[in-house]
Amino acid sequence: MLNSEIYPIFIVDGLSFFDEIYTFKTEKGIDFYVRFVNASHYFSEICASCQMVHEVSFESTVRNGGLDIKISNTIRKIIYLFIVKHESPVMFTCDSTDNLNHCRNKLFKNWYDQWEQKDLFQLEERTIVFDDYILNLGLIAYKWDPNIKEYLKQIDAGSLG
Amino acid sequence: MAKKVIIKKPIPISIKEAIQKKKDWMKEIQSGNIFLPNSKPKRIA
Repeated sequence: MLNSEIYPIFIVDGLSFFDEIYTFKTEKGIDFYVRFVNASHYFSEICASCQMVHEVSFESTVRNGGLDIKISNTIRKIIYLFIVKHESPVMFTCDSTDNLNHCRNKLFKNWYDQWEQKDLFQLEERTIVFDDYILNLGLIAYKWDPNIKEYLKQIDAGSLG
Repeated sequence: MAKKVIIKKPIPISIKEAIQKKKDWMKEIQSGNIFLPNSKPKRIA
């Protein structure tokens, strides 16, 4: 199977200007939803450029539907389409309440490493340790994004929230 | 290897709420009760 094979991708209209949902159906009939929501709550309000950062998350109607390379290809393609369309960085966060945050983080990292358009983008990863919670976070942005240092400065300085 | 950032305070409420909203959204999908606008999704790729 070619690494570039994907499922047909659909965009759901009618949401707010900044939020978008993409959807696709697998050969097994499983519906996948990939959502982008504004992630400004992760940054200080004084960082104007940070207000454009979006968080990506995805879910399917059936979990553990079996290994299907076209699923990861399609989600990678959706993330690429979103970044190109909006020229906005995308971040992912991995919840640690079930102790599977490292697995999810690794998944995103693997996807990034296999990305055909990897030369255009950079991935920055952070493990944010709060008193009561650990948040694994990744930020994907164009390599030429002039604000990348500002996003990271905010995160590294503990400006989250 | 991800850089570790230590923040000596509890997780901010805004982030906690965002994490919870994401979990709720995922539960909606798994239960088949996802809310989507009435318009038909448009194919883009």
